[in-house]
Amino acid sequence: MTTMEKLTGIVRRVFDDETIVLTPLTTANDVTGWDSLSHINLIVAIETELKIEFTQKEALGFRNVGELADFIDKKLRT
Amino acid sequence: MSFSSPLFLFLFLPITLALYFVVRGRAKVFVALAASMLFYLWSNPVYFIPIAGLIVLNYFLGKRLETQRGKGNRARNLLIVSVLVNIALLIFFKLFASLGADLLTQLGKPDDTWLAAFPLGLSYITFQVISYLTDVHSEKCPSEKNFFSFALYILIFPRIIAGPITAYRDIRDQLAHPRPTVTDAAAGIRRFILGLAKKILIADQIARIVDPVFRMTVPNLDPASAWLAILAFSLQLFFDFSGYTDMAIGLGQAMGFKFAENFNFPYLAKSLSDFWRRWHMSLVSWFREYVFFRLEFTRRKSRFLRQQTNILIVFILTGLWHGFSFTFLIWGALHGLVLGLEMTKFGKWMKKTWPPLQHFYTLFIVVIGWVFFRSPNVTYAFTYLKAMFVPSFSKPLLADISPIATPSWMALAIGVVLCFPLNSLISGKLVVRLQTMRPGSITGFTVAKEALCILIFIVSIFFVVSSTYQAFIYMQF
Repeated sequence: MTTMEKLTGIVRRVFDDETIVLTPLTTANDVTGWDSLSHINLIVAIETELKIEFTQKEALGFRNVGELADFIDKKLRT
Repeated sequence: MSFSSPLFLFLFLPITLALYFVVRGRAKVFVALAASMLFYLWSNPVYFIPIAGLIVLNYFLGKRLETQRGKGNRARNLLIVSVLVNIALLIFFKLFASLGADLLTQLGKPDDTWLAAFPLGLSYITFQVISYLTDVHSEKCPSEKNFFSFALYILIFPRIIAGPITAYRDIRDQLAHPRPTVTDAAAGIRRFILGLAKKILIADQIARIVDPVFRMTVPNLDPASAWLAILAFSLQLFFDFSGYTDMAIGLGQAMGFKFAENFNFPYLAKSLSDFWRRWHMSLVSWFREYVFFRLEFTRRKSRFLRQQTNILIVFILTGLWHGFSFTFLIWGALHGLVLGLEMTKFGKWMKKTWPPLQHFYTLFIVVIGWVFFRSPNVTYAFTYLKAMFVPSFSKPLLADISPIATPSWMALAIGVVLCFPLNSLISGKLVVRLQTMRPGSITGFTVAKEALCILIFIVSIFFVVSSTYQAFIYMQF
């Protein structure tokens, strides 16, 4: 499974919507319910699922899903 | 010196603005800074020295934080120490302001009790400095290299009394080169006049109903009097603070600075979380960015009512920011608890219920909160609440409130009307209709609006000169 597929699964579960399709250019604005509050829940879900850790700056710094996926890839490789 | 004092309106402001518009380029920064220093010295001469020290300290801390970027823990520790030093200073002065007078008397220096005052604007200054240092650390903006621009950011007189708290990163360019346009200046002065009217013609008139009630040693009131007084205070507080804010933002705009907005028709809120998106917005967004999300992130692994606990912490801090007293603590905790409740199923249910009920519920919580906010102590607040809810049949209605003068009744009525967005309604729909009916009449409409503004100014001035001075409520925080 690619990182994007894994991420899609997590995002669908956190925002409770099976129809969500993620592309690298998807932003929080494109997903209903993805606001700054629920973003923390998403970060926690990614951290537990993929066993990685974000720093605060990292967690709040992504501009779109592509950047998030690239970052996860980099973390998983190390 | 208050914005509504004759000294400010007829001497300080005209001279400052005239000089400010005569000089060009960077010289505007120096005129603004000199005027702001004079404003501070005039209002609070003793505390100018600690404030000047605070500016120098944070100027160097900002530069240091920038050079330490990317050095991991060292940079982080420096940020933590800098923020703690600023908070410690704020706490010291808050405590000294409330306990200092007693302390000096006990030390046998009763003549020096005047020293136990609070440095003008320190609560607002501290929060701005913290946002500046944090933003420099997290690379959201570079540090300010020019000392005068930095000093102006802290001291700028339109915003020194009570905010709005504006992040450095948002007005950075304006601090380097203020470029006020004629349109900005006109719009700013218009907004200043309307703010002055809100303060003088509405808030201060309503204060005549509210103040005698809260000067009583024990609030033995009949329910109607108790309700009238606290509802009147709700309006007074809104017009006092939003009037001040309009004056601050208006002056800022006239001088080419864009300060953060603070109000968006708060009493039309449909939930308490909605209320906090409309009331003292600059303070709320500060707490959101620099406290709430940081708490959310650090405590993200805790599962038990995480967001509710974080909200409660934030609102207890918001309460204490207003002053170290149990009344503010309870006020903050009340808001924090109800906001936490709104994050549960109750909030979802509330959202779908009958809209008038949503408004009623929100106003009810807000008004109960104001009882604590306004009361001199907790016992007083609870006695007051009892008076609101326990009917006393022996007394006639409104027996315990002193006779209300006509201007105060009028101010109450106008105040209620102005809680609704009339301006956008009028200039929206009416202008469109006028334009389609008679294209030429729009000039007349604009002239009428300007004339009304001037009239409001003249009436306000009349009241400024003839009445006693009332300080802005939010100045004390």
